[in-house]
Amino acid sequence: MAELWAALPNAAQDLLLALALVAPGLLAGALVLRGLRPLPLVGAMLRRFAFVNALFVALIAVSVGLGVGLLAQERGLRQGSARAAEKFDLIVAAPGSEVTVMLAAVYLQPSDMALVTGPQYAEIAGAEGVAFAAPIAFGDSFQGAPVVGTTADFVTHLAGPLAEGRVFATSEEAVAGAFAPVAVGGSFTPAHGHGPMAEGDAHEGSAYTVTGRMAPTGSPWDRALLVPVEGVWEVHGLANGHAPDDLRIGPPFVPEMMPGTPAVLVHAAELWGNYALKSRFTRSDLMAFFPGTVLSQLHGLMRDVRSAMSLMAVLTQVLVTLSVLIGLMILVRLIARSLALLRAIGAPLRFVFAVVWAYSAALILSGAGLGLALGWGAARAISAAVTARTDVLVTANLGWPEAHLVAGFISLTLFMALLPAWLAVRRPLLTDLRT
Amino acid sequence: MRACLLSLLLIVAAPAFAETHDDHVAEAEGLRVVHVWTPATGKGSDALFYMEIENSSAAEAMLTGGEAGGQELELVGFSYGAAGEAWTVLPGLPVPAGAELDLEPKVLALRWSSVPMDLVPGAELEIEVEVGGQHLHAHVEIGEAGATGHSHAGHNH
Repeated sequence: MAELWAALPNAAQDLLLALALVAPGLLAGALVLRGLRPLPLVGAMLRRFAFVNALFVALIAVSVGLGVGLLAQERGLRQGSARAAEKFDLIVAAPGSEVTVMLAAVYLQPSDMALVTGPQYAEIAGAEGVAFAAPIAFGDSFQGAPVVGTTADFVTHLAGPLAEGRVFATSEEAVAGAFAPVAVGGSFTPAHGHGPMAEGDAHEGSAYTVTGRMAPTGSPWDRALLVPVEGVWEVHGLANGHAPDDLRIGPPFVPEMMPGTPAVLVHAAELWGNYALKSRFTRSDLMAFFPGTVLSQLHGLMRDVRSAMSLMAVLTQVLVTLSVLIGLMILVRLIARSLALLRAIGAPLRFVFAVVWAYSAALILSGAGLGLALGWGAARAISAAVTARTDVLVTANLGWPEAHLVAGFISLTLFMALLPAWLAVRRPLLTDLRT
Repeated sequence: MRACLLSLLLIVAAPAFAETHDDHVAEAEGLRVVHVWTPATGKGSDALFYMEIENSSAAEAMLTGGEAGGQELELVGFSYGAAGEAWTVLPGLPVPAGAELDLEPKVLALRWSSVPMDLVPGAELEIEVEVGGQHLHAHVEIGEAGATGHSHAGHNH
């Protein structure tokens, strides 16, 4: 049985799980309503207590929306951050914290780091199986956008063909990220450092002209300004990696004339080459790691938080539904005379039971449906805010986990709705008629 | 029943396969496989074996995979992206002369697909690691389901 289940495609497993979750509730409903037509009466009850009903539906919708929104948002964040790291096959840096280097090189959150030296870079770039090794040299900025020194190979690797213009050809040219604050043809002088403390006039007299613009990547690199690494070294008054009479840009660099780089992105010619290169450059004077591995470990640590969030979301929903059902029990007391009259004119107990249950079910299903829409809307709004703040493209859409959450919620609460229905038919007929 | 017998045979017979006095080491021709371990895995799931491979010979050795319980072990590499985690089969991986290759969680592993029995914590089994044309018989330590390393990780053998 387990093997049969494992052999099913993921979508089929998800669909079957959703059906299995919702089935008990629907089955209970089918049994309660079998052979009866309580819906006209339920419709009348919904209209008669429209305000109270709307309040109950809103309560359920908010609790469902909260759970759905949280789940979708967490997944969107996880996928967005993973997507942003996909192009960073293997990073080689000086020994230190993999997380710090990943945040700096992939998410452009710079920090002070030791440098990979010229000879080390030459060894990396010349290793067997390396398609290209791109320096990633950060530290400068312009109007809040990071200015990163690298090579033309990296630009093409990161974003594919340019959306506009051409790649830099001299150390005074630049390529702008899709949403960087400089247009093609525009010029800028980088500030030394980042944020409010950046020294705006430290590189006075140096300027880059933007010759091209990258297509969007969904990563913080969309706001970056990419310049030849030689340009970064030159504006800092350092050697530019080439002999004085050599005006070209890009590798190979003269090891003795290369000032160093905080990180190197290594792309292997073959997939297996990345693993061999990681093994080769994991040593006492260098650190090689896959950003995907580090990210996956970080996301793994958050799994417990995610489980706790899911549990809290379910508990919130159940508590809200419980309070709604208590409210319904009170409402049933208010309409006890009408229900008693129904029984007095010959309606069977099962019919009264079905009316009260169907009334509760209508509120639960409306609230769950509205909650799904609310959760989707909330997740989209939060995603947009997170994208604006982090530059990591976060797209939160509804998926199977949300469907399972709502299916389980509906099933459980439809069962819970049997309680007010049972209490309604247990009420003393004569007392209710005299009320 | 067959799976149970196989499981029992692998677990009980494991000490008989020892190639050295140290259960954590298998070696031949300058190649050593050390600290082989796997997290506990349920029957029918894929088991991932991690280890350290040392090549003290004068020639590069190619790690190509292995064998367990008569089934092939594939060399797989980890990747992580928007679609989630994935293990891709690799054709082989060179271990340069005088170098070491670590098969570690979320990087590299030997994969035993659809294991025929439960791999329970504390038990040991035997696998064959194919490296440099050698078939090294190595003992596997089965850790807890969430284990992240061999119990003797960091020890010198």
